[in-house]
Amino acid sequence: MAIFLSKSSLNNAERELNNSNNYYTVAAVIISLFILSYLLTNVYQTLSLPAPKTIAHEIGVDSKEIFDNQENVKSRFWVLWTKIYDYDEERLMVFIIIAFCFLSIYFVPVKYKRQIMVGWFFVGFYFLYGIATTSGLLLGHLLVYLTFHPDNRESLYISPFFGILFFTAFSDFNQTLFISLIEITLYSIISFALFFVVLKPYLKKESNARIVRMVAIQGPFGFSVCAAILQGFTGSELLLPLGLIIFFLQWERLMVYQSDYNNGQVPKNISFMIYLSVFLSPAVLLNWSYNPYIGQGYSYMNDRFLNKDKNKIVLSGLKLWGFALLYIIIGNTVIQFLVTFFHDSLGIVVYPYVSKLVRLYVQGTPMTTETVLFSTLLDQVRFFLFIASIVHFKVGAWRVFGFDMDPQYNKPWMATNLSNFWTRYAFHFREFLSRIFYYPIFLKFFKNNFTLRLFVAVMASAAFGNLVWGHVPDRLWTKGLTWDGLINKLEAWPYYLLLGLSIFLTDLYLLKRKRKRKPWTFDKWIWTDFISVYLTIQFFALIHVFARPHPDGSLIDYVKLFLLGLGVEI
Amino acid sequence: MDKNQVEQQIKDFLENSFPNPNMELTNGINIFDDWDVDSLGIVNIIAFLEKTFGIEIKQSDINLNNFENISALSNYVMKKNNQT
Repeated sequence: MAIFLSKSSLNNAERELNNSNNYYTVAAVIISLFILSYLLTNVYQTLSLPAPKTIAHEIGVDSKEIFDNQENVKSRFWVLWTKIYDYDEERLMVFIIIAFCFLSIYFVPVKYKRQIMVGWFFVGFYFLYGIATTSGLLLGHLLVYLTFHPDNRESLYISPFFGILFFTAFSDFNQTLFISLIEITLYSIISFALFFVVLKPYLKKESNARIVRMVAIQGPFGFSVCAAILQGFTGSELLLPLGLIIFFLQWERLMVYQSDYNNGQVPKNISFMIYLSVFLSPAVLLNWSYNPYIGQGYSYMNDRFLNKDKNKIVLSGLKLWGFALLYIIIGNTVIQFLVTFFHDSLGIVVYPYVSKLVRLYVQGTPMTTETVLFSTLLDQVRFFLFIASIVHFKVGAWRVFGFDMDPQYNKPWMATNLSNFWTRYAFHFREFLSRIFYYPIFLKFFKNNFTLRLFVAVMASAAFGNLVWGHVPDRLWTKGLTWDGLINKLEAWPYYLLLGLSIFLTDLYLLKRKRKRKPWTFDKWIWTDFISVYLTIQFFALIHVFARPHPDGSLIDYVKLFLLGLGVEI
Repeated sequence: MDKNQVEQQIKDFLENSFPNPNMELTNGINIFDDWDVDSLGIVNIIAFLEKTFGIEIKQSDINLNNFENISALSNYVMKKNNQT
């Protein structure tokens, strides 16, 4: 496991050399967004164009798996948790915001681009979520900024906004305008005073500052776990404001920001807008809670911003949008085809959801090894097609804004071992775990025993960190702060344990053996690469029987199902 | 230990740990793109540098400026040795 290896970031003058304009690039982006809008929204009705389904029908493509009942392409591009508009309208709004954002930042000098991008994010976010949620999100980020950069001159100026945001996030706006103005003034004076008289002097001492920053970053997690435990005792669930939930969901990225900060990689005089540009762009508006760790922290985003020709970065983003669209269109069809193929041609019953496989097994449905193997494999194919469509769109949008971001999925079907597979299958998440758990532990403990050092670092990141920091909080924030939700996630511990152990053993084997050939070399041994790929992905798929626990299931059930997948029936 | 000796030791280690029989490993060759050291290989390099040269590596040091090729690695080792 390695952190992302980058060179020193370019400065804005160097980036300006990569900022040449090309009208073909602009046209390509606008056409791409029009195609996406046409296929994935109802805009064809407004423009009096034939429906996508009608055109597809005319060229002989007529699948109910592809089109929804509004005759455009079924899509899981969603703006989550907002009920102001329907999904089609929200999608269209996001595409329009991305178009305006792109046009606004493409032609301007480098030093203004990121600030304008953040501005367009807030325009979109405000229209989609409203003032209270927007204020809640900004409130969280402002708190982090003030605790990390209290000595910036800008912090002094913007500290009163904390009070204003607090008012707009939590006020019910029932009082008169005059009363509201008095309250806003009062809150802003209090927040300024708290910052200037209490927080800023307190943060002068580095040990205090470290504690406050830790609380600011880890607080949401600790608070949410406590709330879930409390719910188990009292039965009453604490409901968090949406703006805070949305802020909390970026916490993996905030942790990496903190790591960058501790490593001296964040400039002390960073402005609030540049800080925000690390986290917020119209690229994150869709499917907020899906892979929210994409983009990591400051150093990664800064390294990747216009690090090469702008047009190349933008066009690579469009390529990813192409893949996203392909996966949306073929996703359901491929899964349906495979289920039918296995059943009709091979006589094997398969379930495209591991959760269903586990549920049916727990409820007593007889299973065969083939069913377990192919169902778990199909679940991974389904999951990949579904998530990759969303994540490729998000990464593509960041690229359209000039950030040369790595894809989350990098040809995972080329991985010939589990360690490599995890890199290719979850790049940004793995980098988060590497930065926060793997390297700090690897560089600090058991330096005289390499095997032990590797074991502890891998288990801390791939098993413990992956479960507790990587998955539990997301579950609580998206499904509610409940005891059952907490326990249900923790019950999946054998999956994380097996994943960690397997990666450790793979790493150890790879480090100890003498390499004789590179994978995918065209020689007489290339067939072993294909077998390695299958075994790698199949193993990863199979251990997911532990990752989807059922309320009526037990560890023994999952072990028996796992062993059945290996051909051992107990 | 002078820079040439450091470079030679790193070169021997890389050739031994990540053999590429059909290529020659020069000081300027990118060990990740051209010599095919993968992400896992970095931990091996870290352990080697710590053990062989007695240096302490910080997380913020693990970047291409210090790890890109043999020259960068040896410069890094010399710099760390001079600091101690």
